[in-house]
Amino acid sequence: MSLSRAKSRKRQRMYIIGAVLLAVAGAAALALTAFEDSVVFFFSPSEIVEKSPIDPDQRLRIGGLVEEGTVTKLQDGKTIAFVVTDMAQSVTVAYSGILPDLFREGQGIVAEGHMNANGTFVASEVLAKHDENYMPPEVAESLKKSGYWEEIEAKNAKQMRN
Amino acid sequence: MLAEFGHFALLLILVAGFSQALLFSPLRLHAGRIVASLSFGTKTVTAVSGNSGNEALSDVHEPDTTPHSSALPTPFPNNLIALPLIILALGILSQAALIHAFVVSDFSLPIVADVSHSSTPLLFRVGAAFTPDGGAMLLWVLATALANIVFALQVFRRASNTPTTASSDSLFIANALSILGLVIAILALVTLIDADPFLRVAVAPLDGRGMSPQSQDVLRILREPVLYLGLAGLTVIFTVSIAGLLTHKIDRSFAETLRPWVIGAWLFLGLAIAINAYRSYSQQAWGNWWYWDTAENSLLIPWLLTTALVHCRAVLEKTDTLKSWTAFLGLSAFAVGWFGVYLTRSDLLGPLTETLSQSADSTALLVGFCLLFSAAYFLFWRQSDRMAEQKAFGFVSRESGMFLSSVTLSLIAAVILIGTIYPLVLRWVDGENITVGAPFYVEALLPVVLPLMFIMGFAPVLRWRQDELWLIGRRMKLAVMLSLIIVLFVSIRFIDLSPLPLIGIGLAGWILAAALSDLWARLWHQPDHGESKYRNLQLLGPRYISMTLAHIGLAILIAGGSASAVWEEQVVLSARAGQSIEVGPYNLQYEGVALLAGENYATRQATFILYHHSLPVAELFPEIRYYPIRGTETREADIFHGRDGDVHVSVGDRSEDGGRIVTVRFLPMMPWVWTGMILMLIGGSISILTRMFLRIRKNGVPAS
Repeated sequence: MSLSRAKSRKRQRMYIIGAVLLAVAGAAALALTAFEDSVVFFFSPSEIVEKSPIDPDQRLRIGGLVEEGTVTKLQDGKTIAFVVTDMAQSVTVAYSGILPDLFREGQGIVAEGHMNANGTFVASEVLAKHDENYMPPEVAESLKKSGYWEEIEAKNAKQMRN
Repeated sequence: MLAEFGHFALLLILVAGFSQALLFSPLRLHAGRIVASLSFGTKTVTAVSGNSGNEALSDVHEPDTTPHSSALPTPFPNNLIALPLIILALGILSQAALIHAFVVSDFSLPIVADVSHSSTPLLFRVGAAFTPDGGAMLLWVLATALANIVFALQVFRRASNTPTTASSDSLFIANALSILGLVIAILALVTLIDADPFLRVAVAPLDGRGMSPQSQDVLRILREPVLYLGLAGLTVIFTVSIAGLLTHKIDRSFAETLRPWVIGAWLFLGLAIAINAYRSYSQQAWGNWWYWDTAENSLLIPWLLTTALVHCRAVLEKTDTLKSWTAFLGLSAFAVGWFGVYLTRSDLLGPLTETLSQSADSTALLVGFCLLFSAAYFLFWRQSDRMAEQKAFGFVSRESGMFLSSVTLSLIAAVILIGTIYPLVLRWVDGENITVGAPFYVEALLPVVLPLMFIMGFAPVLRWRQDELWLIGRRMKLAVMLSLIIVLFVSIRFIDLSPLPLIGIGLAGWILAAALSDLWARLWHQPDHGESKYRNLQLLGPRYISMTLAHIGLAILIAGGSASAVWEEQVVLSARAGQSIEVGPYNLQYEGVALLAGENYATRQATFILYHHSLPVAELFPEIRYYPIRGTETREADIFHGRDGDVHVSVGDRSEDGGRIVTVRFLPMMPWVWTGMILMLIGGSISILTRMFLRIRKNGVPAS
C-alpha cells in the first residue's frame, strides 16, 4: 500500500513537473516566435539618420523633442507635420489625426509608424501620455546620448520656476 | 493634527498586523499546547492572548466585541474577531485622516500639494487621495483589512456552527489568519517605507500643483477601490492556500472556504478591467478600449489566473482532485497581482501610464514581494507532493476539460507576462528600447486562445469522472450546426473578410450556440422534472446560470471586439458649422463650438446632432477642456451607443481653413463588447449574491 502510494505520488509529481515544463516551454516558444516579427524598435533621430534608408515596411518608434516653430498643417488640412529632434539630428514626422492632449512644441514625444521613401516618418500614432514636465524615458535617454540633456533639463527647470 | 493620527494609526496597523500574525501563528499554538499540557489550562492562554491584543491598541480604539464563543478544544484565541476589527478600524481611521487632509487641502502634506489644488472640486479632491502611490497603498491596506475581517467572520461563523471543530480545522483557520496578519503588516510597512502619505514639510506651499487632468474622471477614481478590493480577495485566496498547504488540508471544505473569495476577486478584477477599458475608450479620445499597456496587462494577468482558479476550484470542490494545481494558482494569482502593482508603480516601463508622473521609490514593494513569495513557493515545493490525489479521472471528462482550460488560461497569462516584462529585460541587458504592442499579443496568443475557446464550448456539457466521445458529439450536434451556419453566413455576407476575424466570430458563435443549446436541452428536454418549465429553470441552480451567463458574455465580447475592429469606419475632416458628416448609417451635423466654464476648467464644447435615417436621435458634446492649474488640455470624446454600433466623436484644434478638426468613428457591434462585459459581471454577481441571499433566508444552510 505505502509503496504504491509513494509510487503514485512520484508519478503525480512527474505529471505536474511535466505539465509545468510544457506550459513554460509553450509560452516561451509562442512569445519568441511572435517577438521575431512584431516587436517595434525605438530609434532616436540620430539613429534614424545613421541607419537610413530604413525599410518602409518596418514599424518603428521614434522619440525626441518637437522642435519649436515647426508644427505646420499640410494642404489637405488634416495632416500635421513637425520636426522631431534630439538636438543633434532631426527627422520630419507627418501625422494625420488628432494630436494627443499633451503635445506641445518643445516637449518630448514618441511616435509610432514607418519611414517613407523620401525620409519622412509617417506616424500612425503619436504618444505623449505623460506629465507636462516629465520626459518619456526613451527620449531622455536619447537626449543624454546626444549630449544635450543638461541644457533641456535646465530649461525645463526654469520654466517650472516661472 | 489629524494626519498625525492617521500616521499613528498606520503604525498601529503594522503592530496589530504583526500581533495577529504572532497570535494565531502555529508556533504560538504549539507553545500554547505545551502550556496546556503543563496544566495551566486553556483559559489562561486565551486570556493572555486577548490582553496582549487589546493592550497595545486600547488608547486608539476600544474593541467593542465580546468574545462569545466558548473555549474551543485546542488552545485557540477565542476572540477571532477582535484583532481584525481593530485593524479595520485603524485602517478606516488612517484613510479618513488622509481624505480629510485632501478635503481641507492641507498643503503641508506633500502628497496633497502634489496632486490637489484648492480649486479642485470636492469629489475629485477625495478621489485624488487614491491616485498617488501613498494613497493607493493605504487603500490597499484598508481593502486587505476589510477582507481580513470578512474572512474572520466567515471562519468564526463556521467554527461556532460546528462546535466539535477538529483540531486540524482550527489550526487551518489560525494559520490563515496569521498569514493574513503578516500580509497586512508587510503592506503597512511597505507603505511607511516607500511612500509614506503622512509626511509633512515644514513650509507648506501656498497652493497645490493640481490634480492631473487626465485623472480627473469619475471612472478613474472608481477604478482604484475596485482594483484593491480585487487584490484583497486575492490576498485571502493566497493565505487560505498557504494555510491549506501548511496543514495538508486542501480538500472539499478548503474549496468551500475559498469559493466566495475566488468569485469575489474575479468579479472585482473584472470590474476594474471593464472600468479601465471604458475609460480609455471614452475619456482620453484615444478611442480604443484595449491597448495592451502595462496598467491593463497588470490587471488582466491576475484576472486570467483567477478565472483559471474559478474552474479548478470547482473541480476540487466537486471531486477532490487537482489539489496542488489549485494551491499553485492560488499562490500565483496574488503573486502576479502584487507584481502588477509594482510594475505600474515603478517607472521601469516607460511613458505608459500616467501614474508614472512622479518617479517614485518602490523598492520595499519589490523586496516584500520577493520575500513573501519566495517563502510561499518554497513552501509549495516542499508540501505539494504530499497532496496525493485520491481519485483519478478519465481523459474525456469534465475534470480534464476544466483542467485543460485552466492550464490554457495560465499559459495566456504567462505569455502576456513575458510580453510585459520582456522590453524591461532587454533594456536592462543590452540597452535596446523596444515596444511590444498589439501585433505581438495577437500573434502569440492566437494559438492558445483558439483551442481554449474550442474547449469552452463543450466542457460544460461533459460528464464528471468519465465520458464518451461519441456521446459528446451527440450532445454538441446542435451547437456545431448553429456555429457553422453563423460562419457560413458571415463569410458569404462579407465575402472579402480576412480569416482572422472570421475565426473570432465563428468561435464566439460556437460558444454561444453551445451554451444556448445546453440551456435548451436542460430546460425543455429534461424528462425527469416534468412539473413545469419554471421548475426546470429553478433546477438549473445559480452556479449553472452564472457560468452560462459568463460564457455567453465572453462570446458576445469576442464577437463584438472582432467585428468592431474589422468594420470600423473613421472620418477625419475639418468641419465648419452646419456641415454634415456621413458615417456608417448615421449622419452627424456639426453645430459649432461654445466656450463654457467647468468647475475648475474651461471647456470648448462642440455640439453635434446625430441623425439616423434623417431622424434626430441624439446630441453629442465632445469637449476640449483646459485646466489652468496644470496648463494642460484634455480631450473628451462623446459616444452614442446605438443598436448597431457606437458613434465616437472627438474634436481637435482649429484648422488652417477656419474649420475644426473632427474625428468621427463608427464602430459597429461595439455595444456588444460592453454588453459582454456586463453579462460576465452579472454572471459573477449572481453566483455570489444568490449564495448570500440563500444563506440569509435559509439561515445558515449553504446553497447548492
